[in-house]
Amino acid sequence: MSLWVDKYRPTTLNKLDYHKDQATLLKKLVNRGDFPHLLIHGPSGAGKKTRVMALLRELYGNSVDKLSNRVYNFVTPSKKKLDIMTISSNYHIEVNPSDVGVQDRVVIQELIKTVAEVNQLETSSQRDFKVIVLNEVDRLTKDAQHALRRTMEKYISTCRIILICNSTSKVIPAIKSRCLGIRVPAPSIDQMCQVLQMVCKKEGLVLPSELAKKISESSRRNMRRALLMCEACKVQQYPFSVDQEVVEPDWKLYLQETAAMMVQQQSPQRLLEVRERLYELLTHCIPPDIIMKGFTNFFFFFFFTWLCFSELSATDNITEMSQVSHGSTPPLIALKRGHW
Amino acid sequence: MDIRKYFHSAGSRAAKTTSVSVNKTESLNNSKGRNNILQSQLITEKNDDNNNNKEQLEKKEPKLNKSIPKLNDTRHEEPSSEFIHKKYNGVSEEKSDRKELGKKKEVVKEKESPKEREIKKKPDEHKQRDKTQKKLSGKSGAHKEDKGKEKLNASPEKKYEEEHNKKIEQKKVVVDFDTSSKSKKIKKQNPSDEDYSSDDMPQKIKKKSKRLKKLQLSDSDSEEVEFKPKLQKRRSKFYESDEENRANKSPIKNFLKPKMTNENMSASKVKKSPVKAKVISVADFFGSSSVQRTERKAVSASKRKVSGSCEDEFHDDDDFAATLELLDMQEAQVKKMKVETPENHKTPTKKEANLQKSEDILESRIAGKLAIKMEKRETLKISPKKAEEALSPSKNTGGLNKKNVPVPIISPKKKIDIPETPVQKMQSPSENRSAYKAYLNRDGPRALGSKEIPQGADNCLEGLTFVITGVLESIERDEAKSLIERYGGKVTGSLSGRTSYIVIGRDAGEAKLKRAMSLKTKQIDEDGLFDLIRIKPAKKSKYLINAEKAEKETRTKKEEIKLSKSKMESPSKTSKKSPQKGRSPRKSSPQKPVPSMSSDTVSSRSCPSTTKGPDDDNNESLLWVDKYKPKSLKQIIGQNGEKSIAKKLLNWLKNWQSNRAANVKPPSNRFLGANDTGAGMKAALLSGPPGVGKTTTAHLVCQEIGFSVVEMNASDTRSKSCLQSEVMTLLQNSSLVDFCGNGKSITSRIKHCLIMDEVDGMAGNEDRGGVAELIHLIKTSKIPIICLCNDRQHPKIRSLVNYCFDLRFQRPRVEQIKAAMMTLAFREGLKISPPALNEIIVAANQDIRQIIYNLSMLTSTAKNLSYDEAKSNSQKAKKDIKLSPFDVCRQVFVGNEETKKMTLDDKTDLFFHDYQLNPLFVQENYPYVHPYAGRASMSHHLSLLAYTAESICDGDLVDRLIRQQQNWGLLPLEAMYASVLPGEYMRGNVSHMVSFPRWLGKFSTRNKNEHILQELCSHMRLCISSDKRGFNLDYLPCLRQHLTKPLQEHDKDGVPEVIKLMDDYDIIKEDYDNMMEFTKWPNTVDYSKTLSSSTKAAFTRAYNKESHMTPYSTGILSKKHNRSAQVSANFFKEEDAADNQEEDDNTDDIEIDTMIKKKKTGKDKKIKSSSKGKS
Repeated sequence: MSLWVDKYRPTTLNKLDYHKDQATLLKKLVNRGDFPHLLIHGPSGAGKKTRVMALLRELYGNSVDKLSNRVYNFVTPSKKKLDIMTISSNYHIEVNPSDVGVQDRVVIQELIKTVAEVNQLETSSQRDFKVIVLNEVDRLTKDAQHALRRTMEKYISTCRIILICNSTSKVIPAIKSRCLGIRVPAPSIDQMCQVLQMVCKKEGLVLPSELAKKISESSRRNMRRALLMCEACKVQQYPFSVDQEVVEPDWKLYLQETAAMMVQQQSPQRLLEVRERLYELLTHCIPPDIIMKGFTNFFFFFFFTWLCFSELSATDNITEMSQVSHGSTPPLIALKRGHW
Repeated sequence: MDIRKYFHSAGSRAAKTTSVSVNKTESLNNSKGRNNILQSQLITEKNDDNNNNKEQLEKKEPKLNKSIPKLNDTRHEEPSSEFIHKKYNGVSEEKSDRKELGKKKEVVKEKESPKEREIKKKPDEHKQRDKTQKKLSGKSGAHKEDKGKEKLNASPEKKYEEEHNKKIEQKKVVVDFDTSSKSKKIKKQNPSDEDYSSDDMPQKIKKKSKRLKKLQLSDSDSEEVEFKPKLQKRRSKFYESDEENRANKSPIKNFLKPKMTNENMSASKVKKSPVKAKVISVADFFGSSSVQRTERKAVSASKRKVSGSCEDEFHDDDDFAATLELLDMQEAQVKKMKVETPENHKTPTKKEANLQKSEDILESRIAGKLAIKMEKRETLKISPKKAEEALSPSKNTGGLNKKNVPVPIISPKKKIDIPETPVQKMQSPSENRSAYKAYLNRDGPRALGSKEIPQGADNCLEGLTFVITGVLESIERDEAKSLIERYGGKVTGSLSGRTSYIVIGRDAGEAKLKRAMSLKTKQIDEDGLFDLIRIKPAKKSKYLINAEKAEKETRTKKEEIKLSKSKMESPSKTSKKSPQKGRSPRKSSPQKPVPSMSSDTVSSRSCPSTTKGPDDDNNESLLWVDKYKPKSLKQIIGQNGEKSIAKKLLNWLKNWQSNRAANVKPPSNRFLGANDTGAGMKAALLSGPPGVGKTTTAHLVCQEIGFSVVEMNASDTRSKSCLQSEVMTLLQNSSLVDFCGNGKSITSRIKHCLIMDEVDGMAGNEDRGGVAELIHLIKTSKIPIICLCNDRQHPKIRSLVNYCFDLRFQRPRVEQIKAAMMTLAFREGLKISPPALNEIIVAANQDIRQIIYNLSMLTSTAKNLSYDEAKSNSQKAKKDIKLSPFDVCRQVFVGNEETKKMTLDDKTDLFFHDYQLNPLFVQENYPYVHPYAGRASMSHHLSLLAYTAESICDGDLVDRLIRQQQNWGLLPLEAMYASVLPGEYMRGNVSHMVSFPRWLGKFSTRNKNEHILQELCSHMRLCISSDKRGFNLDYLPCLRQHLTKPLQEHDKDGVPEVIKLMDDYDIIKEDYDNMMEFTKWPNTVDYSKTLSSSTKAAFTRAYNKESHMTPYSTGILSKKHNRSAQVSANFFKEEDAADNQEEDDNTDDIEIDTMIKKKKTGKDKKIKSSSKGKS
């Protein structure tokens, strides 16, 4: 009884729910028998990993599902010991080099080399290359990326590397040029609604389309989050109602509150409070870019509503406008309701 | 003649005294000291009297001549006799003295009825001579800060015995003296004077002659009277002098009367005293005997003992000051006694009466004291050559003028009341507040700078002690304190009997007020303080006076030495003792009284003259640090207490051999704290900051117990091989003796001790392996080893610590150092006020060596160091002190006079105190600052905050650059951004305690959480498709809900559901807990609290009941299996094998690989399938 998001994850390229064109493209690519290094990028929750796994299955068949955890130990030149966990099947190995932080270069050099250097024993029945899946490539240090680029060329005969990242902006051009870039865009709201409906149907639940839409919007087109939120909603209150409150994750609520505090009052005292809350967010490992994005979104939204509100009040009520312009009482209700 | 020798040795002092005494003999002068009192009391009149004095002197002299023929002749006409030479040396002084004496006499006489005068003149010759002599001795002592006295005192005792035997001779001698030379008698009498107080000797004397008894009686009386008033005097010291002067006169009259009765006694004295004098040798006088004290000084001595005992624990400045005060008072009192003694002599019963009058007397003494000082200044100005002129009428007229001035203290000249331009202050009013949280509500000064800060006369608050309470309105407390200190006053924190004024501000402390009431301390407000500064006349600081006196004496001595070069025996001795390192060696030699006195009064560093450096010449070349190096354990500053480090070390070393013989093992519990005796430890490790006396202590301790020391310091190569070859042999040396010694013979033979100095310097290639070898040596050593280091936390030292008796030196407290430094300053003839010294000490961060160096440097040009100079100098020296990050941060933001003056470089330097922490501190604390620039409006304030934040961000970027690219050249840039600019923007009040950057704590929490997240992620990796980030943001909230909701809603029934989910996701219980902890937000409900404990227990039980298979190895697996009964012992092996195998096993069968762990229960194929299903 795992979560829906894992339970109903499509396993083959054929079963993919959206971006079907791309799926066929990938299928063709694989069926040709060979394919170049891939750089798969797209926002989180769009289905990158799902596609990679489907691709692998297409390549090697079901045996890629026999996964095992393995911990590799490395010693850096500075005698520091590193542990990195990998997930591997017979045909592929999946690593997240950024787990070891700034020492990822060592991982790239050692691990990938050792894996890539070994040829498949039996090339007749199988592909003559292995696949290395590297996660979070955009988090790799420049050093690691440079180490990677030579490896990619050198061992092209024995392995293919699939790089997964959110954004290519941090990937050096040398790597980009060596890979076939595949972008996996986030699903549209409609596609997400479809998926949600389908999942609920499989679970034997009835999901009102309004709620599905609301969840999709609230998840900001993150399929994974949408499914999880949907399940959370189900736990919250099963017979779904149309105007059901979508359960937001705690950190998001906290972030919103913080942003609201910033808008509400500007004083040294408030600065201290906000700083404290920021610390809190950071200690919960909320990535700073998420935090900043959250704030910016909030402020845009606030500015927007404030404009509308002040237009209204200009005609209706002067006092309200003055209130708003002072920023002392932001339209909190609107803020709470709003999706940003 | 013995006597002559004696005179030579007694030299300058004696010469002075004799001459004076001769002049005085007729009149009442019992002793110089008393004379002084008289002088002081009558100073206003003295000048007037000068003319009269002459006449009187003339009158008297003839009389003297009659009674004692050749008196004048001997003095003036016998140049051939050596002692006359001396006299001549002292002549200049004599004359001045004579003048004074004369004046006094006159004054006294004026007050007396004519009858009395006559009476006195006739009969008192002898007696008064005696007394004068006695007092002269006393006086000389007093003048020379009492050392003389003591030395004088000491010698006579011994001689008494001999004297008794020679009684008969003595009498004859006395006759001789009387006739031949008064001066001799006088000198001899000096010792006798002091002798009478000594118990043993006088008793014998009593038997022999009634006269002696009388003498004793009278003397003892006088003593008692002397000292009691002293005590009182202190209290009354600060009274204004007008009334007191008036009061003076009455007691004087009383004093004068009794003289008649004393006549007989005095006669007897005269006879005996000279006899005693005969026996005294130079050595007794000037030899190392300064330690011995006669009982005459009983009271003062006891006081000193008290202070001495204090020294044992620490050298308190109070004590020091007190003793100084005491000296001053004695001086004054001795003079007084002159006046008083007559009464005392009359009948012992009159003592009481005297005591009652003491109040008046005390008041008069204050005036007297002041007068003395003035007088001294005068006398100092008069060069010896001009001494004669001093007697001339011109001066006398000057004196007459002075008479008109009613009271010295109020004399208009001294009221320097120059209005100063008001000092502008931009101080943060919060300076006070920040000290205490409790005081947070209290305002700062409300009217800063509204009042003019008065400019008083130099040292006008000398000897006064203040306590400030409450908030002063127009002046910062710090400011007030430094103001008081600048004028020689002292500011203490709490009230005591010695406190002379309490300065009361707004919101004064209740407790202090009450206490002030009970102590009857004078209460003044800040205006009162200012007035006090304006009104009080200048005083010379005691230190100055003493220094001057020393100088004066040296001068006279010098001349004397010139005159009597032939017999240098004794003087040479004295010169040896004097530690002075005057610019001219000559100067220093005669200053004996100064050092001995200081050794009495204070100081660990002062050493008895015997222990002093071998030769004057040697001393000349020595640095002060070496010159005043402690010569015995007691002299080490701050190491006198019973529990001091030095004591511990001493005991440890003492017991070393016996402990070793008894094979005492070091205590297993190494944290015994203060009670640790280090028994069983073969080595001791002394650690502490530089300049506190570690090396000195180590050496002195060894010296004390008689260990011979082998020292190896950083200048020696101390590598492993070197230690082995050189030290090993040394350490093994004593082994044979140990064998036969059985611990008893050990004491008799020479013992060795190895001192390894600066062991923390044993690093680098030179000394490779040194520490390890040292440890080895310690283990096998047969002699004690003392290791010294500064940094105990050094990794190498830390390994050494385990084998050593750990002794940590602390910096001595300021007071302890100050007392010692005062002594040093004395000996060097430096004029430096205690507050100035304070500044220097604090600036040097209580590094004694540094302080001495600084002192010698600061005073290399002038022997006078004012408070302001010291302060500015110490400011310069302060730069080198490492500030704590808290202080640095405060400095960065606070806006006050000091920071206003800071240059850009200074501000940058602040950053470099700790360039790692400082940016964090700035970032943490900038929102708490109230910037001056932002006072106008909130928006100003906010924009300043914004600028600051921006600057800090820039600084952070630079920091990143520095660390990433190792571009350390950018540090100054970072300093600008991270420290200087924020400081400039936000300069203002730091109302908040500077707090430690919380970011550090948050950062480590974050790292911990990151780690947890990573672990969770890796555990669930097989099941989920997300990376860490997505897992945190998306999965966790949902997962938590699923893991807690069932338990919340269904209690125990929800348990299986939860466990199922956990197994699906390969989560173990630990992960569960982590997850709950991790997802806790301040704004959400804590799930663990909503669950009932029974549910929790049920959940835990249910979870533990089954064994859970995970695709990863967990450290807690084995633990769990311990608990679960199903698991067999075999299984463990299997599992361990599996764990080991995991790394190596490259076989294809992954399922088996993962299964190995899962096999534990042996039944799980489902899991494999489930994992397949997931993917």
